[in-house]
Amino acid sequence: MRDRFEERLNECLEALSSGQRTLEQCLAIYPREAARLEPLLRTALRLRETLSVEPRSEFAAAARERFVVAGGQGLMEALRAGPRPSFVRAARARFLAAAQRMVVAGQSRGWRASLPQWVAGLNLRPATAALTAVLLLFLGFGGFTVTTSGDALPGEWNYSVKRATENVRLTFAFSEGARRDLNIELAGERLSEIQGLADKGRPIGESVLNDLKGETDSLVGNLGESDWDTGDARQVVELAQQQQEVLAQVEPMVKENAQDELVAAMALSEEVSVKAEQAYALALFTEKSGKAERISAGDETEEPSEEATETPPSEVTPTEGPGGEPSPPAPTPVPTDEPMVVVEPGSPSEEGTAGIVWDRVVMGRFSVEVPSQASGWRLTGLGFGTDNSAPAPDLLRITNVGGTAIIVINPRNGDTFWYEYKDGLFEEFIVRVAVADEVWQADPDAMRGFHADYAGIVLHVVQSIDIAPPPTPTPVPTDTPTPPPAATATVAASGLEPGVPAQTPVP
Amino acid sequence: MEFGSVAAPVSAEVEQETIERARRGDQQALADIYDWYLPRIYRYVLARVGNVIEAEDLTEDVFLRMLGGIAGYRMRNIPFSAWLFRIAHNHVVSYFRKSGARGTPGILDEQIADARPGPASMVETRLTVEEVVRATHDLPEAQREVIALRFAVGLSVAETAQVLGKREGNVKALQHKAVVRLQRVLAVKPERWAAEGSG
Repeated sequence: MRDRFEERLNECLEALSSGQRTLEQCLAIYPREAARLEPLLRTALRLRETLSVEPRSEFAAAARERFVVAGGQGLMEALRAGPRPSFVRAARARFLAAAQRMVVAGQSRGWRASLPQWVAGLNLRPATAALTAVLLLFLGFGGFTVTTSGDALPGEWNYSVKRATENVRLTFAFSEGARRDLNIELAGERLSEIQGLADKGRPIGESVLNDLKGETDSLVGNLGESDWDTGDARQVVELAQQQQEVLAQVEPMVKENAQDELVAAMALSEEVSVKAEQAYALALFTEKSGKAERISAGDETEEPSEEATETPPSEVTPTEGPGGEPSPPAPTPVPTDEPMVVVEPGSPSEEGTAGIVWDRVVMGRFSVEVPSQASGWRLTGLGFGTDNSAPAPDLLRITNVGGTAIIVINPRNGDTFWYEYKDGLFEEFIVRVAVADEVWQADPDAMRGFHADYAGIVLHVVQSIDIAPPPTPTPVPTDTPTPPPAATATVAASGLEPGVPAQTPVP
Repeated sequence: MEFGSVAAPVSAEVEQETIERARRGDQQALADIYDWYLPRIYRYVLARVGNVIEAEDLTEDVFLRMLGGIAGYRMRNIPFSAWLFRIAHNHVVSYFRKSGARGTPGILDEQIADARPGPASMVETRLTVEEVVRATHDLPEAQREVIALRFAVGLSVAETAQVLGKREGNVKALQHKAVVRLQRVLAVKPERWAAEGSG
């Protein structure tokens, strides 16, 4: 009875909406229900009338302009052919933004990382009953179901069979490599399922997103290992990108009560992206340099690589330290025979950094002294571009044992940032930055005053940065004026805004 | 007496072709989509939050979010309008979650309310958006959604069902309950508010 009245109310509302009938005509059609219908229809009309508000014309015009401009720019960038420039540019920003989260996550995930991978995997998938069921299906009457469940989506009749089949595969993937490959495949499968649900117009609930997080989480723990090859790491980098794109696209399909899971899945995907890039960078170092683990092995010197002849561009001329002392002598590589990355074992300890053994890293015209692995520091590179074409990383990262101090150097211009972990947060210090033709460095006294011993290490690193002038392919005419050396100025170590020096540069 | 037009501004074919161009970054196509949907998205958001300033900010966010997803939008089993209103719905829900608010009316531009033409024959008492949002404040969330989509935006029951992921019968039932309740509330509250205001 109520359903019929709801139908008639709606029929009248639709008729009023389309202009097919007037209120009086609607009431005349249903005279026995007219008394109930009339006040409701009048209320609906009042609501409609009241809520038919036009946006302010000034707002509409301004927002339209912003929307169209943003749309044109963003889409054209997204659709540009070749590797996405935004990805390359964002690598540094993502690393810096994720640095804090990585350390926190690493601390909370330590117990898991210490477990053998297969044990962690079993903990995540304890579906013993389902395993038994699938084995029975394999052995007996369910062959058809198993073989046709591969495309099943969550909520479909054969989906549980598909998942149980996956668990069987995981159980029988005995080697680390096999499990890793399967982890990547299954994380991709969960993402395909989400895309599939969205394609069919089905809502995406929290369990689906949690499944994606579960598969992705197993990758996160694994990414800390040092035995990744570039192929697998590249797959995970691309998978993380796909995750971010798909999750953004399907956002409208995500159920209201699953918004938190969506946000968590996006954050996890971002974390995977950063860690996978690092794993990829490390793998690339390993494969290209032939080193066993990482490039900071102080007793190893890399042979020049014939393929690595590209020279990173630089706008910075050699500088002196703020105290006027000359930079440590740096090798002057021949441009046509430049090595990709060379790590030369060490110079003696410097005052204020007693006990530290220093390695010199040379990348083309750029060189810098960094604390060695033997002193508890680790050197890695980030950002080789998306097509593996760059001969050297865009960023050098030097991290201490506890991950509480991170020094990041851009070898193209020598920009150096120091991140110190205190009270749950990473604090950023700009230690050296090139602005136009000037180089700004933090004030050594201020740094030592604030940070004691650690400041000595960071200061030594930044004062040892040397970027040789670019080679001149053609003879320079004798009457060409030589550009003056870049000025070096000191700025306060704290309270700096990026790119905004605290003091006027000193000529 | 006409209830209002909810007809699509263009044919489905034209809309689809425009969306395809927008996905390729065609600025005119983006501008067309914006022009077609801005008033309805704005009305929906205003009906939910009851605050002009917030409604403008959230409306702009909805369109920027749409930009982020339109390259991946395909003509699935969900029409573009339903897809866009889901973005709006999620964004409003997210706003409520972050702000802790639930459609509490704030500053309303009196000029907007007063500028609306209101045929005396259609309404017993002139309402403002603020009064309507206040009246809907105590409704369950699903009923508030239906009121906003049906009466502020002008979506059909079928379209509303698609946006909310509900069956059409369910939407009709929610619509019935909401209108019944609002009929009672609005019959009393405006007079009482007016009395409170004059006192």
